[in-house]
Amino acid sequence: MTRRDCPPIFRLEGVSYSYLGRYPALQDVNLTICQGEKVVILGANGCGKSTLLKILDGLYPPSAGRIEAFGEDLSRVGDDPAQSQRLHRRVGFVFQDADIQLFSPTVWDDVAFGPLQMGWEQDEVRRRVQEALRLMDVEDLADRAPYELSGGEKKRAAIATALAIDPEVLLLDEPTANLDPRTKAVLVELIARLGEMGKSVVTTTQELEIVPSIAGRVIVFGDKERRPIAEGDADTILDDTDLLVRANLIHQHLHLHGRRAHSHQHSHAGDHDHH
Amino acid sequence: MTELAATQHPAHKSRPAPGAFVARTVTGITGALERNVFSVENARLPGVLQQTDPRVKLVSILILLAATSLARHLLVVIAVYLASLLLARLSRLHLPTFARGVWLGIPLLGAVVAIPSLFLLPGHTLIATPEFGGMRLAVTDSGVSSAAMLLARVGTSVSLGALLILTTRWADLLKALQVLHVPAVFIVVLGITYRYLFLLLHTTNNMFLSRTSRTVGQTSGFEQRRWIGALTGTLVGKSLKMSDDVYQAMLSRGFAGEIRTFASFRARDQDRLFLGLAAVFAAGILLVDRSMM
Ligand SMILES: Nc1ncnc2c1ncn2[C@@H]1O[C@H](COP(=O)(O)OP(=O)(O)OP(=O)(O)O)[C@@H](O)[C@H]1O
Ligand SMILES: [Mg+2]
Repeated sequence: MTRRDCPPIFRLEGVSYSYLGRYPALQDVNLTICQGEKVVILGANGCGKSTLLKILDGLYPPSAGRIEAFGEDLSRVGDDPAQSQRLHRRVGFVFQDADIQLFSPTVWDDVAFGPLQMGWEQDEVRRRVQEALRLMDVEDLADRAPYELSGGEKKRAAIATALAIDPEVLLLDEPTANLDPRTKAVLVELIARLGEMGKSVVTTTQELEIVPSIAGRVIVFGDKERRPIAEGDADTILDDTDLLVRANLIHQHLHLHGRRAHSHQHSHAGDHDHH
Repeated sequence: MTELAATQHPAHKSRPAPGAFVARTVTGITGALERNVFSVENARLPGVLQQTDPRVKLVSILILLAATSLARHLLVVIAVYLASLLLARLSRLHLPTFARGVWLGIPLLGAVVAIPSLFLLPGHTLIATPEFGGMRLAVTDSGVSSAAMLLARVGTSVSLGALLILTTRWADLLKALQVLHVPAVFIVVLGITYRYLFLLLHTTNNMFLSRTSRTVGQTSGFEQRRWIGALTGTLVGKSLKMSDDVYQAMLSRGFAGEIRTFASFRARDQDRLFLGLAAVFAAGILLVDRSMM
């Protein structure tokens, strides 16, 4: 890692995770994320993006290795409600599946859930809810039941629930998946704005077109390695066709070329099979 | 109440295939639950119960439930039932729907339990089967009245419970339980169950709809049963994962073992009045019950 001058928020050393001790999801991840950084985790389906975010959020303890958040070791956070609450006061998580995130009877109740758990005064809670709803432009949906919303509305409501706590760090798990182009553009702009507000934002995605707007640093996860295989700024990574093909983020025969005329690599030598 | 997802699905308009029956029933039931039990529309109406403090409401309903189970006379139980209808009316619930929902669905269970008591209690014989191997089954008067009593009790209790659930937002109900010192763990579990049951219903519904839309023509009964078997397996797996996920989502928002909700309950005079009326009604009706022979 080139930058050593940053105050770290998350520090992972040799972190591995496997589900039920059998299905490996992450293997030996070393990673530091600094305050104020906008990081994009880029990787194909199943490379461990969601798992990584859940580890950052203290929801899973690493099977091996060590994770620190804000200088605190997270290995026992599952048994320590006070530490868990301390962490989640500073870190907001938007799950990949908005239906999981929205578990209250109405959007308003859902956005209020976080602030209420923090034990804030009622007026403060009301103010925060209002502010979060406004930021995500979902004030009109406050009284609706989450299941009545469209995909894009759900996503914005879900982000509002995380924002209501006014966290320093936001973890966004594939926030623009399954959205139409305009909704996607609106959301990308909102995410960029959150970054400008000084929040650290970690976004996972496999959609290359959103990366330039929201990434200061891009970390590419290997399709099979289950750990970072490259990192750099958005331009460097997006120009590296070989890397993107290797990470299964573009397909040799199936990708658009925005910037330049392309020549196919018709050799399949570097081709990977999936299983 | 019965305009459900299934009937909105165009496939059912053009093709009332017998194969679609199971799918229609399942989407019907899950759709109805989604729209009714999990909706907050009733809880938002400006009715009497909706505006009553949830704790007061909970305690009052419990008092009426106690009266229902202590009463010995059918007429008294019917009086409590009529009171529940009055409350439903005052809370602007749609009475026919309310009454039908209670009496059609759940008392089936009650009936199953009640039928044996028709025959088993000693008393004056009303109707009897012909002798059969030296024995005969006879419907006795006390059998009839105790079966009627059982049905009335079940129906009334269910009505009272439905009143509570329909007019109270789930979050407020949980909070009310907390105030009444129901253990926090129990409340947390209830809270998760609520959301997760909803997601599960939703998933079931979607799985049926997606299958219906992928199925061209009719499917055999065998195929249907096999598919339902597979579906059940999938749902069990999904439900385990979902309850886990919802719990994580709560943790990530700062949940630390004790649910905190918004409503700060402040009992007002009208709440005290309501509680008083419920208590007086219950006491009065039990007095009448005990003085009747
Ligand atoms: N609950 C689970 N039980 C068992 N294995 C799991 C579970 N969740 C994920 N996995 C496995 O762990 C690996 C990483 O999954 P993860 O969800 O982190 O990937 P992802 O990069 O987020 O994928 P996607 O882009 O599809 O969301 C996958 O191989 C997956 O099969
Ligand atoms: Mg994922």
